[in-house]
Amino acid sequence: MSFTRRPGFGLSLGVTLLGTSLMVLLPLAGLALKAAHAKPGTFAAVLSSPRIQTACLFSLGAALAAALFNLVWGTLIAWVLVRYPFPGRRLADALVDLPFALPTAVAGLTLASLYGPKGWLGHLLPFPLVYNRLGVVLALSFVSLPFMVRSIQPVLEELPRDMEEAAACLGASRWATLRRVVLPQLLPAILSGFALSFARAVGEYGSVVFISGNLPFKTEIAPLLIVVKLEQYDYDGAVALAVIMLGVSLLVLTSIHFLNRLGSRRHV
Amino acid sequence: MSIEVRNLSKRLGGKTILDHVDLEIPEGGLVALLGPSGSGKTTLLRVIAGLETPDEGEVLVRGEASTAQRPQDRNVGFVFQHYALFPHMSVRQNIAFGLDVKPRAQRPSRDIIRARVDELLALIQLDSYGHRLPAELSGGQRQRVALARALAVEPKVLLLDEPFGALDAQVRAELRQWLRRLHDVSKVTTVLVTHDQEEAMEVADTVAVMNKARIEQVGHPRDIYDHPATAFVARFVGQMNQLHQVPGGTAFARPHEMELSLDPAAGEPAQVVSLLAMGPLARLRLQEASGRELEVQLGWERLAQLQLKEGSPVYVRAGRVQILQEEYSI
Repeated sequence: MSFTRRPGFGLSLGVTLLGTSLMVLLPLAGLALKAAHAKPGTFAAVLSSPRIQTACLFSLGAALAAALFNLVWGTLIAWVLVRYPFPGRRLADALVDLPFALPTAVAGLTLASLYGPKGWLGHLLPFPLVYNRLGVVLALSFVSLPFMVRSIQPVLEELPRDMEEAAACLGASRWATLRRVVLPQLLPAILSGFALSFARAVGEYGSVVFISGNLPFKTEIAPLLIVVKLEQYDYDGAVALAVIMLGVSLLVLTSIHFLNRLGSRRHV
Repeated sequence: MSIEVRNLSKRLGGKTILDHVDLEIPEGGLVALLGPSGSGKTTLLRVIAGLETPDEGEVLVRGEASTAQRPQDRNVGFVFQHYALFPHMSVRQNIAFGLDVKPRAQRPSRDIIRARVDELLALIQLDSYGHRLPAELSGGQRQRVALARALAVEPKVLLLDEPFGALDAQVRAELRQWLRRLHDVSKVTTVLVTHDQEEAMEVADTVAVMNKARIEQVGHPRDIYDHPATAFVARFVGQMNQLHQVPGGTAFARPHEMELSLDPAAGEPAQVVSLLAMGPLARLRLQEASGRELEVQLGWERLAQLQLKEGSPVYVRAGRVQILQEEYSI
């Protein structure tokens, strides 16, 4: 591969690589190194433990469910914020970022007390929403919602309105316009918002431990088991579990990225 | 009448955008709505398409009241200034869109759609571009695709909103003539919105001049130029010398209607400020003693007779003077 060197390339690449290495690559490499030095059999033990298997599957499943929930809900929020001028829109727009700013433990506690059996809303609900799997999905959706909204919003804002008007003049119903004109153009943003939401939800710990009840085989998530292992001084087990989660997340994110590429190439 | 606009009014945020507008467009006509930006011409077009709702008045398409109809049900073709092509669809898919989204019962078969798209691609001279994406076409090509897309559903009327406004001058001139030929072949009633008087005059058989939410004059391009109904039309269409105020309005004369002489008895004294002699016509700018500037067009023979140069003294009078009022009144 040949490329022309642009002025400043060496320096900016060096600075960027140094920063990325210190902040991201080095810790990840440390993790991999630690895992490589783990006692033989650690991975097999971790992988074969039914409790860990359940927790890992639940973590992934709950993160996917939360990302799917945000897919619908976050797209709707972005749509309303962009397309409808209403009093207080700027305030509503600012509120979307709140889950970013709030310490997640506070979010977990708030959700648990609000939707708990004796909470303001919880006692009105016909089914329990905390200390079960639904509660975990609720907390994960809460903390990852801004990723979805903020991914879609700018793309939607840039989408020219005359395209929808053109579709209407050509006889397309509102639904057909949405499905055939608007959504295909939003798809890359929706997918990347989905991937970000998922990634955020897989790693979430703080809010979940307060709302899930942490029942083994029921509402335990993988990050919680890592903390449990650390508290038992089982560093090798914790590292092995971390590496497994990292690998699975990487796989999911890469497949979403690949799907996205596939989708955009189809049109060329 | 193909399109009838009756007593149409629209206000937005305290501003009047359309003020009791009436307009009749005959079947098969090509009408240009000409006016400066903010005169309401685009809004009028969008009301006809159903993309805006009027506060008052109605629109009839082929005698059918369509004011309450959604744009989907009006069967009008609309072409936007910035093309509004669907960027994720190929040229073929764009053109076929209006046919593809028809309800199953009315949708033509795949073969018929394909044949229709082929036919339109040939019409816009982009036969071999069917599989390209809009981003891979030039501006002029994109606008032709947008036209083909609008024509695919065989609309009752074709509405063009500044269709060549985003193109450079040469492409614009080519597309203008192409549009005129296309109209002669297809005979679809067409309304063209433009702020470019040359475009309106060259393409349309009828021009409606709009100013401040009202239509000031409707007529053949030639009549609009020769007999402007209001002072605004006189100033807006073609070059015009504004001579002086008279009790009934303002006196105007076209540059080619000015007469020059070296005889002091033949007009007011003036001085040649600039002179551009190119081809058969010379353009002169004169300054009168009062400081007022006048545009004059002269044949080269007359210019040679007078032997004028920059700075020459000369005597000027208007051969034909039109007295026009500022405000349109019936």
